[in-house]
Amino acid sequence: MSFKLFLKVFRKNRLAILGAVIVFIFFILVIFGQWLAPYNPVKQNYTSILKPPTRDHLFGTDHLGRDVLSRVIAGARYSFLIGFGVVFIEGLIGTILGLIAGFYGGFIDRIIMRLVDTMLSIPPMVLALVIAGTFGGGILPVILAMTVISWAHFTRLVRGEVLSVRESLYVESAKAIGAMNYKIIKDHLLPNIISTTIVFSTLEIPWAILFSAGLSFLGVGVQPPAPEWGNIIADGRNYLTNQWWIATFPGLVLMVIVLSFNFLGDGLRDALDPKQVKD
Amino acid sequence: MFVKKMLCILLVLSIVLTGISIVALAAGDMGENVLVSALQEKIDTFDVFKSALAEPLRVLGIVAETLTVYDGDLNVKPLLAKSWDVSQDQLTWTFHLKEGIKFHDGTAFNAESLKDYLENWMFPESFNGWQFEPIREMNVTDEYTLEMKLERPYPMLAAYFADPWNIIQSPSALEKYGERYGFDAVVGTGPFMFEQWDRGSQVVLKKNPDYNHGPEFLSNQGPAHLDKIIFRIIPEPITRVSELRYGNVDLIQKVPESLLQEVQDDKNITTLMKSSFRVVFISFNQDRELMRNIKVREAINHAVSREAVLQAAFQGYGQIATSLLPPSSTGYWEGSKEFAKSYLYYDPEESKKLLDEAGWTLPSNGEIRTKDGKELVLDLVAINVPRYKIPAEVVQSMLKDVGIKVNLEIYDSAAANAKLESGDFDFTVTGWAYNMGEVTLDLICAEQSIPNPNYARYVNPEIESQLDIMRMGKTAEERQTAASKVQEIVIKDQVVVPLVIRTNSIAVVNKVQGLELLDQHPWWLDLSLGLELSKE
Amino acid sequence: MFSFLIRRSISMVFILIGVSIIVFFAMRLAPGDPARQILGPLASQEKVEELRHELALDKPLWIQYGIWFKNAVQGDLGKSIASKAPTLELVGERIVNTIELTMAAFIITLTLAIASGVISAVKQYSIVDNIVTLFSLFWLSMPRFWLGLMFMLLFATRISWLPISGMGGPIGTWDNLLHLILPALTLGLPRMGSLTRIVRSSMLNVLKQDYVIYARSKGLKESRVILKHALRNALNPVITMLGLQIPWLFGGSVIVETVFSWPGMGRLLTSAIFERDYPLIQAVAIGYTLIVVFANYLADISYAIADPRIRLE
Repeated sequence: MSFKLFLKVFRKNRLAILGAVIVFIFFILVIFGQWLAPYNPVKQNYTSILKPPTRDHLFGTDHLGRDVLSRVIAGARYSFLIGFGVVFIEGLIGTILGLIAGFYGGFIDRIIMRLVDTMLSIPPMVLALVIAGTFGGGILPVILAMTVISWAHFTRLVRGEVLSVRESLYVESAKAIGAMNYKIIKDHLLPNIISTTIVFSTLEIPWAILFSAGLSFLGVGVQPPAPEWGNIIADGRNYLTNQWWIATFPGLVLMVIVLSFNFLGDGLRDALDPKQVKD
Repeated sequence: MFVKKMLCILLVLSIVLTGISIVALAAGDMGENVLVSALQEKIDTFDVFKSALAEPLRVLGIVAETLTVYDGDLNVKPLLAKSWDVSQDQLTWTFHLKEGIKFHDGTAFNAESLKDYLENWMFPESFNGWQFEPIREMNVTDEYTLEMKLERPYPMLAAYFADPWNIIQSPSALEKYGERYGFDAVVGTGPFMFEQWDRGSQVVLKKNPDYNHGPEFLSNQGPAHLDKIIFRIIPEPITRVSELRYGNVDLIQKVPESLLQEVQDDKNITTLMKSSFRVVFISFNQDRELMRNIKVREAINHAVSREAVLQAAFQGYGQIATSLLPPSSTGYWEGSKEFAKSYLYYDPEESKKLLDEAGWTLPSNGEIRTKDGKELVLDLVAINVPRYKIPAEVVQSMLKDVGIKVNLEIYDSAAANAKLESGDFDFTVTGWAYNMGEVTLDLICAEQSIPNPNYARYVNPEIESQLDIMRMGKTAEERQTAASKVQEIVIKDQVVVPLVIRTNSIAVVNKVQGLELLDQHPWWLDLSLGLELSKE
Repeated sequence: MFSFLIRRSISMVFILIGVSIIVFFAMRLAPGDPARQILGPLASQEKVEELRHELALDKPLWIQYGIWFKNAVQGDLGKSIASKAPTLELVGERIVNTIELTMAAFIITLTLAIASGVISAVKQYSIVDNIVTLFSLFWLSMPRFWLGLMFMLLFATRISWLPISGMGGPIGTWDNLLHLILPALTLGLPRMGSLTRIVRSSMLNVLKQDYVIYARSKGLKESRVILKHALRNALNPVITMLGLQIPWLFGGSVIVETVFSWPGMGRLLTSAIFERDYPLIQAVAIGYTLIVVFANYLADISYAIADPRIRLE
């Protein structure tokens, strides 16, 4: 499929465009947030504690007098790190194992798929809690835990794709002319599964951001004082009735970003592979 | 179409059902006097020998009682014991027990069963066993008299028996239930009986109609006015507060400070506040070379504003600590209020000066002080609960202002404990809450409690000798002087630096009566006897 | 059918062993000492060592696992370190509550997803369709605990309609069902998003098929065509997807139980983790896996029933 066709389909999807724009803004925040934030996100100011939103502090201030807006901007980095970190690692593991399982089949396929089935039978939050929780939380345990629970899904997806491509004519013919395995994988399999992988990854990022917020709520996420969004929201929950702004604004921003990634992912899926119907 | 129809049916159904439920709710449970309270999640068992969690004590303190008890002026008063005598040489203690008391399972409470309980259960099983280590033997001299022979004079004995962890339970029930004790049953002598524990949901206590031996300083010595107390287990603080305001819970304790204002503003709710036992303090790890330098410790002390900590962590509810002990606990040194003024104060300029003197100077273009090319970076460990986490965040930020970089490491309590025990940290912001100040001093400052909870690895021979006097001094004055002396040394040494004292709170809906009684006590000893529900 | 059941049972055993190994080693690699955590700071170091020895925590990991496995085969999942109660019993008390909550969420999810999926497929590209799409993404994008807290604050202090904590009473009683509403919605709504989209696309696919066109041409009522002919066939891919949704629903219950004080396994798990109660963590993980595997079992069977062409090979 040509890039032109892709753009044509994608451009029609207004929500996807919106999503792409917001995701772009998110990237700007990740890269330039340090300079864009009105205040230092860790700077405490005991003379303006728990102040409601004003022109000086658009999102208000928290219990340490820190500017919530600046913290939300700074938090974009953590969400980015977790979202992309997890998806990158799980994607790497998933693609490699999926390719191996799908391409070679047989015994090795059965081993990998048995492992995948096992992983898919554990409720993800349960295993993530056990891993991140017993390690006492922190950004690395969180990424580790989320990678452990998500690679199996990815592997299954890639394997499925590989299986359908493998039967196709050009792989058969490549095999017939005696091409090396890795060359077949590189030239024929990878290009054909790449679009699925991209779509799936795009949809995994919002999941990862949301999921890590859930871990923070349960007290095993990225540990404070890091201004990770889940943390800010979880910390602000006991202020929710009186100082609603501490948790509400970060919550809304989180929702908007997650929604945008979902819009974008949907748009990409439709544009890259209109016939595909997957979760 | 079909979907519309379904929606209509659903709507009608839900309206009808809601109607029925309102009628059903109104009809239920009339006549019985039931108080609904709420507990936090942290309950694993109600067996004090197995769990060190404090939340079960709220239930156990009503179900079972101690031999002695503290009154409002922190004097040790009789509870299950009627009186006690100490021999001239202080080596024999004779406890005279109240007569005619029965455990909830019918076992008689007398010298025989008490001896059985102490000897076979409490002393060996309890982690408080060390408090009774000088007891050499116990003799039943008559049905209601138990004599204890000690190896050495031990003046704190009666006070230790008032420790809320040292409840007296039925030895035959412990025998009968074995490992199921604390799970299926708890059997004591208290005003309420353990009826049922739906794990994760609620604990139900019912009135002990025969109860008649409440402490002499309470106006109601029994039985209780309430027929039942239901403790619902609600993990989220905001849910607890909402349920209180919604009217499904009558009484909650420890309202988070961030929600206190809202509760206080509610006209249907009465809120009581008292200083708690919890003192938040900084501990400097003495295994670290740098932390042994008193100038550095002093500098950190003066760099931290206690008002800011109080405001940020507890919304200003609470007080500035002047000693390792809170005024509400035993052993508190009155003189510390004055004494602390010249030690525990906020003065960043002085802090900077002290650091300069210690050789840690600010490079001309940097923000972090250095000495011999090394940066002044400290590892601060704290537990992930707001009462320690937020003060630690404040400390981190304030030390930055004087040129100290702090790596703040926050862990859940198990991981934090492991870290603190291993000694791999420079200092910690932590705290302690205990009604007996002597125990606090013994645990935080004594060499024998290294590494836990003497996280500072604090060793001072002068403190050790004062602690000995505090434990064994012949007169109460002598012991108090020693306890005071320890607190003085602690402030001077600045190895353990007190920051703030937290406030405890109880919020009740207005139909609950009898709160005056609670106010007579420096802490809320036992809510159950005085409380009543007004009949409307 | 019979051989299918046998094969699935065998693979279930493998899955359980796999899960037990993963969980066992994952938690023991982490710092934190259960003995100290249980005994508290007041206990002496010797007492802690004694308990460590008693719990076999001082033995090599493989031996510890071996001991656990041997007992587990005999039906003994060990005792909770904290309360000394059999973990089987602790999990047993809670498992039903978690299943009730999850089932309710499941039913809500399914009903809403099918209803909205069908509507948006029938009215493809209409405003309704767009709203449904938007809403399903909206629910999907909301942190679950956030949704729960919002529900709680909305229904408790402002409107006072629905109970916000606890189970209300024994399962199945009216009070219990009322208490179930908010937690089940909180658990179900985010999952509804993805299901709705599957129903929609599957329905769109079916509506183009010959038999639907034929049914229409016979002059059958539109509602009958959609419900009788189209929907039934459209549900097959949905049922397969359900199997994959189940672990997510159960996992989500951990947060929902905490917010709404629902006495399920999730809360047991979080407190066990904070106390490093290894045997209990292990037992809860196995409890969760068991219901997930079993639910997948049911999904497979219902798949076969829904579509007789599929044989359980």
